[in-house]
Amino acid sequence: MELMKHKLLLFFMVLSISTSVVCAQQQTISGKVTDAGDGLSLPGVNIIESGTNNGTVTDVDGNYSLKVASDATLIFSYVGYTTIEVPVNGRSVINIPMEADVTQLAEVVVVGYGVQTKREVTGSIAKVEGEALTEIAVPSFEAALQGKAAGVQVIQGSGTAGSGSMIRVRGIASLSAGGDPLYVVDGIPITQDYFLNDNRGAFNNNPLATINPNDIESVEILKDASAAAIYGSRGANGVILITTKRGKTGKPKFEFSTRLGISKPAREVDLLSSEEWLQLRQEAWENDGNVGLADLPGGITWEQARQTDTDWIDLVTQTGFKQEYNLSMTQGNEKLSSYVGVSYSNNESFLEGNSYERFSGRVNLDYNIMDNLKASLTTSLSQGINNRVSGAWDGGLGAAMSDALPIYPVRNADGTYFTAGNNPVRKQELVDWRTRENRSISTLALTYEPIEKLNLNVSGSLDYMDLQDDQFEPAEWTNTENIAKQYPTWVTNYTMSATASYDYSLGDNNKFTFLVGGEYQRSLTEKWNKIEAFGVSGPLYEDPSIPDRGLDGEGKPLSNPVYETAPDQIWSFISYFGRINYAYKDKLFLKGSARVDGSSRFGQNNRYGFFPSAGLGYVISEEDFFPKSSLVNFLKLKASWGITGNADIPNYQRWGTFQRREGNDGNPYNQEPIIFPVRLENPDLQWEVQRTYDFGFELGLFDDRVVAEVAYFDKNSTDVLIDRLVQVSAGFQRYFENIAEINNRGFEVGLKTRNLTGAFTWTTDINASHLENEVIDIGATPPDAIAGSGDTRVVEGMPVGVNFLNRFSRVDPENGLPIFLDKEGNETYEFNLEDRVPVGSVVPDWTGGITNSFTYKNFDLSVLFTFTIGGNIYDDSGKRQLGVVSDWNMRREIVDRWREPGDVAQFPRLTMEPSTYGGLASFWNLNTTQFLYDGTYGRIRNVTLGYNLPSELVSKLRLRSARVYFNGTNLVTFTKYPGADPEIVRDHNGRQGRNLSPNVTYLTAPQEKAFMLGINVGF
Amino acid sequence: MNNMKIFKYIFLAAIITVSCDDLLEIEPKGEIIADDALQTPQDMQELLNSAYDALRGDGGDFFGGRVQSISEVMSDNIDGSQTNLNNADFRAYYNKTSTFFTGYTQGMFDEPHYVIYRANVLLKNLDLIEGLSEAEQARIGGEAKFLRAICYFELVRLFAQPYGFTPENTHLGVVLRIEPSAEAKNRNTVAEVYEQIVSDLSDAANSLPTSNGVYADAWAAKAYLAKVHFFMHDYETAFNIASDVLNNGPHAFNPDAEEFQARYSPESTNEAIFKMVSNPNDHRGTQLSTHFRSDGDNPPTLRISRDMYEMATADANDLRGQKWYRIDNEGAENEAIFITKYDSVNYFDVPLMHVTELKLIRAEAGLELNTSASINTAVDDINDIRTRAGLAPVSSGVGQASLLNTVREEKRKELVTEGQRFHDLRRRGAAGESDLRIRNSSWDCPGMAIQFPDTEIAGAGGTDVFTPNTEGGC
Repeated sequence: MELMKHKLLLFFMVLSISTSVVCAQQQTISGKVTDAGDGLSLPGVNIIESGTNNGTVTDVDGNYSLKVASDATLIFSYVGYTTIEVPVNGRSVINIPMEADVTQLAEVVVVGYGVQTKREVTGSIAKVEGEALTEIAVPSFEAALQGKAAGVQVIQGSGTAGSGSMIRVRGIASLSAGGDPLYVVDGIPITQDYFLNDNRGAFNNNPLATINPNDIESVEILKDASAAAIYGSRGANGVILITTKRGKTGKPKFEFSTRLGISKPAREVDLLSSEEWLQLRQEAWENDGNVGLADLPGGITWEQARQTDTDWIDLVTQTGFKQEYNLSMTQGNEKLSSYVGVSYSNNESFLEGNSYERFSGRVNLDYNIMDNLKASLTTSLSQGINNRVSGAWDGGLGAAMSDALPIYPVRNADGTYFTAGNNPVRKQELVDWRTRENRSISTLALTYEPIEKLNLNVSGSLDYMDLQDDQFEPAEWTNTENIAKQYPTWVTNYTMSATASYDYSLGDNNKFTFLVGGEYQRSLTEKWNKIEAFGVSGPLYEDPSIPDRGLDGEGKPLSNPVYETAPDQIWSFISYFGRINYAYKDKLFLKGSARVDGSSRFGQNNRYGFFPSAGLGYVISEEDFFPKSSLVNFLKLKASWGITGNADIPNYQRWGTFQRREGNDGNPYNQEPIIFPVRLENPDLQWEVQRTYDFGFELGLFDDRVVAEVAYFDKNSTDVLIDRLVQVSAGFQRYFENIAEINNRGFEVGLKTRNLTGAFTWTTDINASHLENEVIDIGATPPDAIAGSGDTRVVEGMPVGVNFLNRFSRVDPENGLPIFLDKEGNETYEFNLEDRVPVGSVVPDWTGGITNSFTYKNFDLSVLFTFTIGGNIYDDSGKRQLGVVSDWNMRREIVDRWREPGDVAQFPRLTMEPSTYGGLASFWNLNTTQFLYDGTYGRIRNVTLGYNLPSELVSKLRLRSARVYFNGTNLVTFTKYPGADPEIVRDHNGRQGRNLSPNVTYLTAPQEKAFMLGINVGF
Repeated sequence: MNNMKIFKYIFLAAIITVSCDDLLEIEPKGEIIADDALQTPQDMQELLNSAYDALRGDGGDFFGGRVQSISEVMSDNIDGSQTNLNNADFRAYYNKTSTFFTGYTQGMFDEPHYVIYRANVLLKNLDLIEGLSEAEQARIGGEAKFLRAICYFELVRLFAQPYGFTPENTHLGVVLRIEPSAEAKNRNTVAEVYEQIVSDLSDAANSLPTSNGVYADAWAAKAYLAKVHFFMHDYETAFNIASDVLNNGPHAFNPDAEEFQARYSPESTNEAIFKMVSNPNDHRGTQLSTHFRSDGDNPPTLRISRDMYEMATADANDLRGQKWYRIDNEGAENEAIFITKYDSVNYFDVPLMHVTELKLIRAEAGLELNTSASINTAVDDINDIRTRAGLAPVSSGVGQASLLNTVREEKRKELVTEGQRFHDLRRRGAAGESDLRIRNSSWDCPGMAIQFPDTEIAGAGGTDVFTPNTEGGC
């Protein structure tokens, strides 16, 4: 009903606007504007009679007509083209070819609710072209942003198929609330919840994986408040705007591309063989004062153990095969322009049984209903099928790196699976697991120009996600009966917005653009916690008879399958915003914007937030006093200030609530209904507040042979949300409170040089950013109250997510015992958790990328090198792989261990008894600096070598263009880190872990090394 | 310009229409706003049921087997050899070196506090609900206090040194909360905690009906009261209340050996004075199965110590030794001893207090009282249990010391893996056997009281507010 109401409202809003009629212009001069390069007509070119407000815009075919004085001068301007002035001189037909403006300052940049030229931009916005996203082999498009934009740290999760990335725009400013940027696709803030499938299988679902990178025209990253404040309470962690391709004027043009390739792990850990492991075990056994042969786990005898040497890593990995096919069409005429794209890809990862298959289709249409009324449809439909494998703590490669010992066989002598210890092959072969996501992101927009320069836009959007995780466990696995489990989730997210923009000129020198708008967004998440069916013959997705709802004909809960309910999640935002851009003589640019956001998540006492911003851009090199030289041909100074917010907190946290369960729903006690308290009320709950200053300049040297951009930023976040721990004996759980303060400051450098021009060209594109992150205040919260995965904490005066560990000093050469440091830094044999101190940091000092591109004749070569300097990696599995000898396999570094008095070794004497190491309570507690590594690494992330077929050959083949290329991803890694891979985002069970613990690994799969061969054809 | 104004107005009007606060007033679905949650007697009944629900703990984290397993591991019943106990944190409990990080403690600690919090909310609202009769108030109040008491009893025994460790029991117990509150608090003394437990159970015994379906009744409260007094070394009260329950209550001793299977079965046993009921979809003893079941999907986490096994099988006629144990690869390097008490069933009711245990309490209390009447009752109780197990009866003539030895041995054998042994040993230590050792560690060494989880300590604001246990040192 609610939905219906809003749809009607939208309809009437559209109707009320479209019924107005506006008079047409008279005509004396007419003509056609074309692109001087390819001769195609240019629609939308601004034509103004100089010195007046009189003007027009070319139509879809580039035609215009305008009544002007006979001695007038016409000014033709169009974004991306050089503005030209033409005296009329009494002519009645003036055809104009316009030259594309090659300087990058004419580049069009998408900003929230509009576009600008780069010259006009006062804020910090990084732009990445769509082409840059398609040639690299990554599990999901956002990973291709790595090393492409200054201030944007991209850590790809792992090489697992469909894996997501963690993107941090200018650092991390949130603790318990989401720290990811806001993703906006064609104007819609999309569903971007990483925890819809929790972390089942040690894998967080990636909500971006169904987006086809080939459909993307460009990605803009709004970094500072001046750019992001238009997204108000959701802009604090940056905004990533994804714009899809639209129809281009001209006859239908087709592009077909395909690529094939293989996948291997980028790095592997070096584990022990059966014999080596047994030797260690025996050594530990004897060190502990035992005699005879050591106990072996899994009920294995020494004889059996010696005869077995299973390479589990080899068994759970493979050479993955990748394939991708894309076909797209673009056309445009007077009435209609369209982009249609279809795509199929199937990417197997290097993990046995793991793949991500994507089908996607997109239709983007722009239709001119009248001269001044345009309807635009933007729609996509895609399906991602992720054949899943267990990882990390859940099995698979994680098991192979931990408790699947080389002394365990895959199968017993009688052919049955070995089950007395972890056997990842058994799980992989028996259990069927896939996640299927259907996604559609669509917008219908109407743009109406009732009078000149006034544009009214209304749009309605729907982002629909149907996510279904399916597991089938046969009786052989469960030991009881076949069990099928399904975890379905449906997210319906709709947005309605209306904007009005008006361009106003005051004389020749003063240009204003006004924007006002309103937006309403509402999202509904429906799910079953679990549907579990017993005794079925296959997975539930193969069985259409599974009822949607867990009720029988009489409305009673079914006993099989069992439906576990989860409450619907609904949130909404209502927003109003406005923006004024002012330009003086195309050299001084001022911008002011403001947004008011209200959200269902905010408490009664803090319903609406106000988010203003201001920005200044000054092209000082345009001034007369600026020395004209070819050394500095361009200099623009920028400054901005603004307030943004972060509202990415779980829903309903402001309410004090109870919950009721009955029937099979969670199986309440004695099958009688239960009601229980869930949460305390918090009427003061609000968004996080971030104040940002940004200062920067853009510089062109030697006629833009060298172009540089430098920015300094200072972001101060207050009211940062902490999921506050209540003393557990109070009997209820945490609650969200606006407590903390965090500061991020740093600078970014972007440098683009055209080193060689001519037949052989060489350009270098460097970006680097330096970040200092500091927690200013966390109230009276002790470190252990805000914890991230792998022993990260939040400590005042330190960066977010410091590693909070015991310090390992050295191994005593006399007795081989580990020596730790106590809190004061004195050496001690005692291992005491009270001696944990903040040591490393998971926030690197520098991140960036260097792209070198070369072209010679028809060949082109591009090499991307990405780097991270400083910061730490904490290997949370190290304490087991290199600690107390247990039922885990160990890494080869353990070779350097103490064996006899006098040995100076990296690792202490082996033991199977945790208490040997200073009274250690459990081998899980051995979280020491010994497993904290320097996070510095460099990587040849991407190499693409392409060849464009000669045009004679191309036209002989009746094609427009043809290109073949070879691409390699993650080819070489330079690092001192001895674990699997220095680029890590482990699985997390919530936002806080994700914020606090990037670069913490726990048996996380490495990145993927991929080799691809591709063909692109245009016709 | 006029045109523009008009359109601006249209837009603003349109936006304002959408912008009513209603669109932001989204109440949680599937949850009930606190103010509306407790309105009717039915709501109260459901809240009470949720307190029972939390007794098991999520996935068995509390009485569903976790708490029993931890106390067994700390006793001498479990095999602590190298290849065993690698799972999770059992090693730390075994070595008496649990820390505030020992993960198994966390869930085990949370769940009884949900029970206590829910009981406190019930008690606070008891006389605020329209239509709740006095009889219903008495019953619901009694059940709430019963549940609160048995949770505190379990907590104070695990997280503190036993009753009698200091003369006035001024040593620290656990945080006591008898009202719903989020206030950060330090621990109450053991004396205060026991006082509250006794008061709650006495109130429950008075206000509960003598029959209450599968829920706690007056007999359950009395049986626990006997046990609590026994742990307070008040043998006379323990003996008398236990006799009241055994002589006048509806639960009779089952002399048939079928009891050895019936105690943990879907059909359950009439010996159960208070139990958690299971059904096929809802197993209340999940972690008993996980940690002990020997014929399940996976090998059990815990195995039985050689010492325990030898005692159980010392007399070849002992049916418990015959029925409850399996030994694999005897004498070989990979020897493994399993308990089969929980085998071959996928779910069972979990008796938390049963006639056999109460008889053993009465017998030991009777022997400690050392009157001829109490000794006779004790010998009868011992012989009921021995006869059922296929063992020869004992006579009172062997003397008090020998009889005490026998009853303690019988208790260890009967209640193996039920989470009693560890507390009995420490109780005896506190009652005067000052040299008593549990696997080579003194009964009162610091690590015997397991450490509070970091969420209790940090949640209170750290050690400035909350006094944790002394770690290690055993």
